[in-house]
Amino acid sequence: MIIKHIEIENFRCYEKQEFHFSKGANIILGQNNSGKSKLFDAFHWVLFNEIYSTEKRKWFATKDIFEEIPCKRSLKKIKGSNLKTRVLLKIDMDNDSGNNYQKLEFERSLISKKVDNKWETSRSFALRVSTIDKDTSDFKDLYDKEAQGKISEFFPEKLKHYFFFQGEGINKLMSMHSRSDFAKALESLSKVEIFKKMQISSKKVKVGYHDDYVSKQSHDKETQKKKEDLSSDIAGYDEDIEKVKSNLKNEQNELVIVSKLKEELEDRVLKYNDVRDVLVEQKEAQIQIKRKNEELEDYKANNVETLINDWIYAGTQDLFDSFINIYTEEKEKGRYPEPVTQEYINEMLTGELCLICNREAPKKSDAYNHIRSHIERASKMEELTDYISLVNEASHTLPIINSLKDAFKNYYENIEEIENDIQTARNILASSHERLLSILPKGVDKDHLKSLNFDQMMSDLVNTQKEESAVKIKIGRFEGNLERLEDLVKKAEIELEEISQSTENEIETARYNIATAVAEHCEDLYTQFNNQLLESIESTTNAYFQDMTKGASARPGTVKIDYLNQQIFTVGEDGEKMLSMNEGNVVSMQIAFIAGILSVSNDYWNDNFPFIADAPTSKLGGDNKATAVNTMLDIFNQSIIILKDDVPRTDDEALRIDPIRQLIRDNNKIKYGYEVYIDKDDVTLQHTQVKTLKDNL
Amino acid sequence: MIIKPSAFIEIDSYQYKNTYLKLCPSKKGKKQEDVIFKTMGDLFVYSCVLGFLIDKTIEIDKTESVIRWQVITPESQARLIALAVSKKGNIDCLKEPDKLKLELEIRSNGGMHIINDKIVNEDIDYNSFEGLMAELLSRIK
Repeated sequence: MIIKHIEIENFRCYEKQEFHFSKGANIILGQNNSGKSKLFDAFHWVLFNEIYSTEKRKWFATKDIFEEIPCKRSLKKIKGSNLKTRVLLKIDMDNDSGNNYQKLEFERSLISKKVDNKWETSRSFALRVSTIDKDTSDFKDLYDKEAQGKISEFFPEKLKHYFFFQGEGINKLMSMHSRSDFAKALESLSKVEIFKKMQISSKKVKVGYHDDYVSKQSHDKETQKKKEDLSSDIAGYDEDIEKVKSNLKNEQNELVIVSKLKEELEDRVLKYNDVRDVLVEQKEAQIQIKRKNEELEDYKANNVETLINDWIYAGTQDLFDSFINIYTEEKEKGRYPEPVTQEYINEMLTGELCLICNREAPKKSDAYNHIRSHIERASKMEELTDYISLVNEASHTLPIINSLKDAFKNYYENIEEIENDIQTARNILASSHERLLSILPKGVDKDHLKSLNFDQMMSDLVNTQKEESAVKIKIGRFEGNLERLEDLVKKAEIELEEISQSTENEIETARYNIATAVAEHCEDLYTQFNNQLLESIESTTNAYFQDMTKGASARPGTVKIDYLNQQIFTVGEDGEKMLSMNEGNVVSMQIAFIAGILSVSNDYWNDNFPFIADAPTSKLGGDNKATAVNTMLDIFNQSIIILKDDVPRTDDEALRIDPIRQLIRDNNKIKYGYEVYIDKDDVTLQHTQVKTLKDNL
Repeated sequence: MIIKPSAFIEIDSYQYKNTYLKLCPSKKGKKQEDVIFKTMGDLFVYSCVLGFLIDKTIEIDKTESVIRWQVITPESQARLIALAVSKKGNIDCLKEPDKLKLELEIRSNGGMHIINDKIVNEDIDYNSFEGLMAELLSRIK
């Protein structure tokens, strides 16, 4: 089938727009919030009655989100009191498709009415599907339930997330637990219901015949009693087994949830590991800058006192030298009081001896009188003390002044050393800032980083790891119990079997044996079919993957789908699981896997599903994105790929060299190209405009 | 004591209002942590040293009595007097404390004029460590 056309009227941010598509690839580009995901919504709404809430990351039915469906701008602009929201999808069927239709039309609509000047939107919608017969070209309209039934015929509900693919939800699509989208897709493809019904019916027959076989009355009372006891034991064990199985299933489901959460947390911790290291480095550098600035301030502050007390005498050494000379000269002239104490003079007078020149000084002699004259000058002791302190201070100051050159040099060297440390820390800060920008995960800005609590992240991870271990221990315990109970049942059944064989129940035995053989055969068929399907998906996925990664810079490996252990991965040439893959190869594997499922679906349904993808390569940018899109072009019969536009609309040069626009322009497999953008005249009532980039007609 | 500890050192009224109050802490003006000269005595000593070094004296017109001799540390007292003796060429001045004090006052006033000149013409910031250091470094060849 080929989607030819979608017409969108008064739907979300679309007033009235049409998009034409054709077989091959069709590409729609749009910046964030330009309406590209709303276009994806339009496909989803018309076929499945669902709208995606970006905020809640969930699909909602019309009745739960009806107020958000009509275009706000249309509601404001329209003059009447009725507004019809409508999406019309036109499809051409392939000639070799396994049905009788030539064309199909799907239309879903919703009415909003103005009541008391307020718009009220209906919770219910109208649905129409029109078919045109391949042979007779007869036209037939179907409505509502009948129409919905027709949609399910062409777009199997359980496969919808694979052919209406949302890049954001890729992890969910690759999950393989028992209630996953993949398990549902397998059910839908394998028609497992039929096998399951066969399995259940044959088992029922087998159990019924087995009951007949073992409950056949024995003539021997003791044997009969033993049989009844064993049957009752088995029933009791079976009951216990069911309980344990139910608990086990609950814990296994819990394990799926906890393991998924753990993986997400591990991814998050891994994603931010380098960022955290850089932030720690930045913090240390900031602390170092702060500490060194404080050290600098302290060092200067500590030197203020020295500066005021000593350093201000810089340049005065000649004056102090001169003072010392004056002192010496004055002293030589005898003008300067001698530094002789009163006790010393009294000692000389008592001994009649001049202790300075060591000459006798008898009483009344000139020498004696000269010594006495110093007694008279004793009052000058205070003056003398002052003089002495002046000389002492000058003598003490001179070497200080003479060493100032060295002191200043030392001071500036120390300042320089601290300033160098500050500069080193600043350099570290600057380079780590650059590094941070280069390793910051996409979509994470610095403000967002501030709100991240790395310790909390680690503690969440550790707690979840503990929780996972606890659940695994519980599972181990339940599995042990189950094994023990099954062992008991087996033993009791063997014993019952042995007793039953000795009972006269030939007919019952024969019936039971036939029923057992049929049940085993049904089981084999189911397993075989499922395995074939998985092998088929794996080999197709692998073929696409090899094709897509041809010439890839990183070793791609081979894709393995391990359904039993619920994982998809790649193995290297040595057959060992590859532990890390580059981003380009991961996206290729994801696309190949989706394509693998769709390819098998196409074979099963004898039709070619279109592939409508919203941001399938959201993790890639620039040339990598263009390469990934290029590889998608060959895979699908028809693809409608909605991509985030990485180029500002106003930058003509960037638009000219944009690899995606070049691909649209130059690649013949791309039939239609559109650019969606928002008319910014009133941001509260934004509506999407469409520019055609390529039209193969 | 050559100069009485309680004696007031006279400073120029103009210098007091225009420079002392800008470079020294006061009740309504700057705080201690914002200035290099923590007391007016510190600035007096600095200006006095400068007056001796540049050999500049300026008579004081109108005086302001705000600094007592005792607020100046004994070491600085001795050093200033030694500088005064050095300039006078003999120790006679030591016997005339009033004249000695006056010598210090006019030297300080001379120094204050130089400081003012440098603030206005050379844009030296006497409230910053670096500003003062630059000034001191220039004295060492």
